[in-house]
Amino acid sequence: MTDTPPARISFVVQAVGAPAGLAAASVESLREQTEGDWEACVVAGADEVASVRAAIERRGPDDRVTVRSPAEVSAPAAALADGIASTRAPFVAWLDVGDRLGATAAERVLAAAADDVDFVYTDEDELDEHGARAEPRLKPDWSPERLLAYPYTGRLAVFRRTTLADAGGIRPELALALDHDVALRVGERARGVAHIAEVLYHRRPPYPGSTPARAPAAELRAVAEHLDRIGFPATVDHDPERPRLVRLRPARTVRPPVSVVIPTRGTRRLVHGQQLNLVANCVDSIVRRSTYPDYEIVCVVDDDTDATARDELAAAGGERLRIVPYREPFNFARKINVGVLHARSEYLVVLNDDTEVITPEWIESLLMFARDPAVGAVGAKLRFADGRLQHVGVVAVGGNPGHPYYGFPADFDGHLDNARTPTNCIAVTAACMLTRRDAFESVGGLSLEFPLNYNDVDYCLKLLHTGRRVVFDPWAELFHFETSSRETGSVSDDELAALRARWGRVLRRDPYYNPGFGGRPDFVLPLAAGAASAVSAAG
Amino acid sequence: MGTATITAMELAADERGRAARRLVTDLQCESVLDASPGSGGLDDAFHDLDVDADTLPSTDAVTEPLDRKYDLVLCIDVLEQVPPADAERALENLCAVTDRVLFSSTPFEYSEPTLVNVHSPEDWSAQLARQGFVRNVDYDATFLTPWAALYERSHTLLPEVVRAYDRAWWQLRLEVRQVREKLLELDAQLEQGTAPVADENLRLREELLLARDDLVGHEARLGEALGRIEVLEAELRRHRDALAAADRILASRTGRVLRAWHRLRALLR
Repeated sequence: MTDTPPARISFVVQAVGAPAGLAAASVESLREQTEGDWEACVVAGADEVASVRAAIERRGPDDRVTVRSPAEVSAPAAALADGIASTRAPFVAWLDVGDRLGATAAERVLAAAADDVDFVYTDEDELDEHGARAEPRLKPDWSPERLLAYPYTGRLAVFRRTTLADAGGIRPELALALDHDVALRVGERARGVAHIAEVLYHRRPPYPGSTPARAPAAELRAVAEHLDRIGFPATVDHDPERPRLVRLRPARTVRPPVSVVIPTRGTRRLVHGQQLNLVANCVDSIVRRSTYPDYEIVCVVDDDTDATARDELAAAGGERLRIVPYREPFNFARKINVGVLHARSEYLVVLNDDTEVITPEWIESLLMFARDPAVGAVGAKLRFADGRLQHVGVVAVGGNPGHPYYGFPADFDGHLDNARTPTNCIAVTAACMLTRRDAFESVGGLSLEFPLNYNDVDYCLKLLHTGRRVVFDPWAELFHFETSSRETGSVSDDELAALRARWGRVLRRDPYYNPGFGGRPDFVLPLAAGAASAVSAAG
Repeated sequence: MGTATITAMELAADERGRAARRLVTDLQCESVLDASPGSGGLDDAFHDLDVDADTLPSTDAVTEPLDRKYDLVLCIDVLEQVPPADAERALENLCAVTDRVLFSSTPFEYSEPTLVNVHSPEDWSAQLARQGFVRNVDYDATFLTPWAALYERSHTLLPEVVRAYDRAWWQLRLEVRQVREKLLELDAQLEQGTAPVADENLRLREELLLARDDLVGHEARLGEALGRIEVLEAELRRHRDALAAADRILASRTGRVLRAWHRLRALLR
């Protein structure tokens, strides 16, 4: 007889009030694991223990599995906490009764659970009534800002036991936002978080009498408490258009000065059926619609810009406007850098002249993310003139940066609502990007190696390289009359080659773009045709 | 009655001598009453210049009638210490024994508890005017205190007094205007002077941006190169392993048989 090695993961199945067969199905999936270093605890009602044990042992006894009943009949979350407390392995996870693990789940998790990793999560999907898998939830790598308003980590979620305990464990009062609450609290203190981009968790279909997994009110509280703990300057509300989603509203407590830097040459184009001076229209929309009180507008204007265009710009900008003449040959990146050098604020919004403000609190919204020094840049949701999506962050697929959901309908929610909730991404377009001056200066601003295209992608990748994060903010919305800002739609091969020479590895494996999409065309985040040509914000 | 903690006449010995010399030279006075008990020995300085100088023994004495005349009466930092009613009598006494009063009283020290009678210079000018004394606008007594002035008994008609004041006012206005113009000129010169510095500052900061971008760019390319090396080395290892496996097969019994068979087949061809 050989000694059983000590378990490395404890799985807890909360089965109080559920059909015994469901608990057995969950345990069955554990017994099929390719990695044997686990233990399981099934928590059932006192009068259910015998039937659950019988259902589990129908395939023979397994001393790794215990079935217990809590001392007192209590809420499901309390029963789960009781089950967790009865186990001992250094990592712990839980399954809703009837949910199943992929056969390699334990093996993959233990391989990923390095010494400094306190939280591991995997992709998941749903089982229909016939056991067929559907609705895959393919997730990005660790994304703190994504988790703020969306419980994207879901299941399977495996926590280092000590970290879970330090974070406060299970809180029964937030049972209906359990996964979100625990992920937020553990995420706050985890030394490392690993994502396994494989579907290793399968949710069972609802059974009669099963309780919903989530409730918006509990989620609001979980998020609000998280914001309080980390000092995030926002309040929490339901998204009025999608009440199932959480929406963050910027707090009006701290309002540092902001500089909006706009490079321009006074171009006129047809917008909204009118021939408009783009920069004057842009500045006019900022001044008229913005609610933010303390900002200046720094326009970097080509020297040969005609006097009428300048006069219109001056009239639109009023006292907030400062004009910086630009006398060098055209170089978008350099124009931005020059504007930033003349700007006076610590917070900088880089803005294309072919944009127009939609949401009045756009600066407040971008700023609430950028207050965290670990966030290097925040990008806005940009729309074409007809409202279709133009920018919701940048992803890299096959070495090419591109815009997901490019041209998709205005109200498109995206995979796991990633067009409607904040996400972390490798880059955002500089057509509208808020960044901190210290970040800008520490990475050398926009690189002159990219005079027209990809300077924004390169800039954001430099931020990632220096340990900062980049965030897409869905609540700061602007029009971007992109086609009207470009002389041509072509992208220089040289610039793309230079980008790959710097960042080839990241572009081949975007941490925020699940590789699962690449092998499963049905779920590939659709990229616009010629995605590579659609990225840079150069105007 | 107390004494002021600080008076303008608390001068060093050499300064007292210099002040006395200047007054004697400027005003040609042969007799002086120093009505400032706190002046700290100004009368000695006058004596050294052979001037017939008296000093009042105390501040209180200033309200007592005096029995002789003087070419000049000094009333420096005294009357702000005297209650208003006594101060008026004091001024009457002083003005009665001379045609020239060199007068100074601090206009600022409202918070000093011993100074019970602080007024602005124009208030004192008005009080002295009631005694028939008018400021000599051509005499600058500010070497004593910033608000010191020489008052003289005036027999001049009002238009002439106004003319004198207006002349002084006009000169001051002209002076202020010229000073302001000069300031603007200097400001413009300063701006011109700093513009190149500001340009240089911008140039340096832009250069710094370029250097930092260069650094991060090199780091990124280095990371790429290291990644490529890792891939190539892994590939090389796989090749070596495959070669080693092939060698092992060739060296084995099966390998020897295989080689013999290949040789036989070649012969048969």
